[in-house]
Amino acid sequence: MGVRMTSTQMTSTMALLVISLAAAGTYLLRLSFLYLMRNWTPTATLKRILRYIPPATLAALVLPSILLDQGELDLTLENTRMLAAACAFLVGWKTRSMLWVLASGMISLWVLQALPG
Amino acid sequence: MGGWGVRFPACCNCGRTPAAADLEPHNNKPMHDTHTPGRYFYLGASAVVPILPGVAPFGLISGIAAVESGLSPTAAWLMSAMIFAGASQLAAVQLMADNAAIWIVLLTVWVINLRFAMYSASLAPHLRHVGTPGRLMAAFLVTDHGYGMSVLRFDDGMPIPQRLPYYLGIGVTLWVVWQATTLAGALLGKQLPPDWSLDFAIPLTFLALLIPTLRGGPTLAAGLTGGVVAVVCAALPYNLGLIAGAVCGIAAGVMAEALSSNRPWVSG
Repeated sequence: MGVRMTSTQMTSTMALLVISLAAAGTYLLRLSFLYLMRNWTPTATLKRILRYIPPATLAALVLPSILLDQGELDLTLENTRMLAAACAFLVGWKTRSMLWVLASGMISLWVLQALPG
Repeated sequence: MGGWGVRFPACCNCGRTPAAADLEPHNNKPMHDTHTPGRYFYLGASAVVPILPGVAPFGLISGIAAVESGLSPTAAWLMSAMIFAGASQLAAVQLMADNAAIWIVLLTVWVINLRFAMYSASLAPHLRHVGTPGRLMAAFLVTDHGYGMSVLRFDDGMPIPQRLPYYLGIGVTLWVVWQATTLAGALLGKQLPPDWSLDFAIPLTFLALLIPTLRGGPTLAAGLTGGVVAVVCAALPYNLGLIAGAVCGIAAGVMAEALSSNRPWVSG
């Protein structure tokens, strides 16, 4: 398809079409096992696989966003987001509280960013 | 056990928390009369409150990014109402701003949201008693946060009649908050100061969901592998690094479980 959009030229009809198609596909993915393939019973192996979806997927969402800076791996102490996330992880591990993860992460980031150098 | 960050209010009749009262038959009744579906909807909704400080900035940023890419505030809000998946919305508006072809935008959204099929498969056994309307609603409300929070409680042995209302309480609340915050972001535009680093709240919400899933050796192997592979593969196009990380992490978890099958891991 040779159709291209620009932020200035994209018509609202075109934008709505893209949004609707994106939403329809997303809903089909959500429906997949909850409705479309609902009569299919998971095997023991699949159940074992399902158990590891949450830690694997969530870690795959978190780690790149704190270790990469503009696509480059940054493991130095200059990476304030990595340090703040490590702090939030330790606090969360101890307190088992979602609110404390968010509070400690944001506060430590603000403190680290305020530090000179 | 009260659950991760959730304190259930005690029952007004017997003083016990619903979690304790409903897991064991009480006065030979499986459930209290007061523990209606509405009550579990409410409990689901209140379980969302601790993560709202993470969800709200995510919604605001999605709204801001959408109008910055040239969408009207109405289109930005419609996107949130229909797609209801922040990471893919951010990727889509970024691609639109970069003048990407339509099929690239669509493919990216679908690939990023492939994980919803995994969540769908994981939720289906827990909701196998639910009829068609409930399934259609439950599917629409599948998100990282909604899935992560409800599956934790389902795995803890939440009784079957409570699951759908609890799940919908979480899902509907997240949807309403998502609409309100993206609309606010779309209308506010660029007026929020960037040096507040509010976008950092997004990975923090995922981190807050990740920690309670790390319950022992195999889950740690799954998380560590998933995260590292996603970092290594981050340069892959269309966010395929996320999928690669998820698949490798799951494989690592299954293998670690097989290796340690004679040594039951104590839950963390």
